[in-house]
Amino acid sequence: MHSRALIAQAGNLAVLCVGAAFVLGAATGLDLGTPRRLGPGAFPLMAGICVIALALCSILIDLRRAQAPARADAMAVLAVAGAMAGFALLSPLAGVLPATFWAALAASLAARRPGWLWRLILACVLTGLAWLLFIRLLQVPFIAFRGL
Amino acid sequence: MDVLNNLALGLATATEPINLLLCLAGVFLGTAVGVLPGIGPLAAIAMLLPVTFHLPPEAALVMLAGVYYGNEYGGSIASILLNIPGSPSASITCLDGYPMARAGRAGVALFMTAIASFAGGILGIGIMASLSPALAAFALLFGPAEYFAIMLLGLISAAAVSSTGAVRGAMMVFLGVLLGTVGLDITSGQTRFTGGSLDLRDGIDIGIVAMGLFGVSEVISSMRDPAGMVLRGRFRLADMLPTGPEARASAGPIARGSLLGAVLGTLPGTGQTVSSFMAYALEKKISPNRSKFGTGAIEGVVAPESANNAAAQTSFIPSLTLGIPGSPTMALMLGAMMIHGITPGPRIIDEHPQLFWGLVVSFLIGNLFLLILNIPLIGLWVRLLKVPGEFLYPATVAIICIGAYSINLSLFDVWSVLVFGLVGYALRLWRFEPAPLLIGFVLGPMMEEYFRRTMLLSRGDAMVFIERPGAATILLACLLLFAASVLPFSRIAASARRALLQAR
Repeated sequence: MHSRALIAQAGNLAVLCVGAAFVLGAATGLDLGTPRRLGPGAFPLMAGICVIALALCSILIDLRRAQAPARADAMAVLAVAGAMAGFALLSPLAGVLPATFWAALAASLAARRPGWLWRLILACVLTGLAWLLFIRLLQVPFIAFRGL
Repeated sequence: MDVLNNLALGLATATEPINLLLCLAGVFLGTAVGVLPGIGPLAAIAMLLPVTFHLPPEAALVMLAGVYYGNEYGGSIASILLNIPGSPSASITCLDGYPMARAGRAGVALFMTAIASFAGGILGIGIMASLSPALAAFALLFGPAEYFAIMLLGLISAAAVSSTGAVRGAMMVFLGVLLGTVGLDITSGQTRFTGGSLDLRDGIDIGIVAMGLFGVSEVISSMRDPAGMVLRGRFRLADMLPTGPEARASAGPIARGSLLGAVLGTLPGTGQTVSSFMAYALEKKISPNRSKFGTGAIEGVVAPESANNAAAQTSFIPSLTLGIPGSPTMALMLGAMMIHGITPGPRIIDEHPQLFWGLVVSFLIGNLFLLILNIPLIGLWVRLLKVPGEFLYPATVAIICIGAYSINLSLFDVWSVLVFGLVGYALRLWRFEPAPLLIGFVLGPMMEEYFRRTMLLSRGDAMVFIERPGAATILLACLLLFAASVLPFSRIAASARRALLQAR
């Protein structure tokens, strides 16, 4: 019962912690200045206090009508995270186009449709379109294939 | 009579073949750029700037301006079809435009966006043509205290429109404000909350926050959704026409949104974003269909679209007549003018009437081009939704990766988009809305600047926000709007009525 209530409030608590972190960072690490010449820490401190106050209000409101969070789709999270992380890791090693191929292939792994052929064709087509649009037409200075 | 003569001069300038061609090229490019995440109008205008060196100044500005307001429409297409806002002002369109697309009504949403954008643009142009000097003078009345107050009103509006409640909306807004403080503090030169990272020194790019919170989180949420989007068999012309009640329900929001946007657009920097959120908040408060907002209400699409397009036109007023650019994009446009030897300022209308009035009439022609170009393309955009999800979502992920990388050619940005995407997904699971966070992120830094400037000018006296009538009025409006959103007035009124009846 308590763990369910805690999970329901986890979002509010996370925001509260973020607000508290900013307040702590501003109060201890930045100059607050004077009322006339506000320092770099003043505004984040005020905004952080607002976040904490609103998070506490939200916690109180949600105590009466707590709703459990929706179920996360782990497969989708892993596929998208793997795709984007792979793009970021592969780009400096192999170039943007191989990284794009990986991103499209990895993201397609979350699809319920079985088969590898359509995934490989999709990745090739998207890589080709990326080359055409970004490198050829928009002239964005990407390195298409590192080492070439 | 003077206005008619000026418009005739403008018409003669704007209808020169070179200007017509460049206007068409500008709006087409602006729309295309607006659809792609990561590539904003700033990048497009920066790439076109060298091209404009060889053009006459009127032609150069006509094309660049076409890119600027064409981009607003393109951003709406991405908001409606993919739930990825092309600009902060388009993020509010996601709330009702995307649900309409999921319900198989993307054609109607895109068509009404085109109509609302056109109407907003025309009203903005009309106001620009007739009231430029007066509106410039109005903008000058606003001091830092008033700017701070109007931005706070924009934030409260964003909180008020949240379908999860004003308190949760306000929480997201201020969380966005906090995120906006990351990076270099302009005033003191000190870095804040960067953890020593050089990549965060310049702060977090708006494109990264938008792509992550909206794009990546939407892909994760929808890619394995068995329901998917509702797709009709064949797309016909009738599929993009609204029903009679929808058309009638749209007229008022378009008119109100256009007026709000046209007035707020004259405030440098705040106009488009604040006006689109305020237009949405206003309609949500007064509409008889307010319960449908957030689930695919047509009013929720047309109001912000007319507002941000009206603001896109009138945002040229402070830039041209006062030389105050409201955004980096506008600063680049002013730079283009100065390269051609034209100094923006109060005398521009008198010293360069051909340029000013040519630009005004070209806005009218450009908005017509936008309508003519984009309505036939609606069928093409809607057919994009027929692409099965297993093809569409990997394509979206690939485009987001490349779009994020293209901002600064930094892989840190790709990682940041992923982090924001996971945060955005977590926000969805716990039923928080990302749109208020985005507006807080955009307006927060400007709010801070105006707040600090106000305190400096008032020598540390915070009462200045009450003593200045403009700021006090706007702050009172903030308070009333927030109270109206939080307090259950209908229940209080019902209880009061019951108590009165019992007393009798």
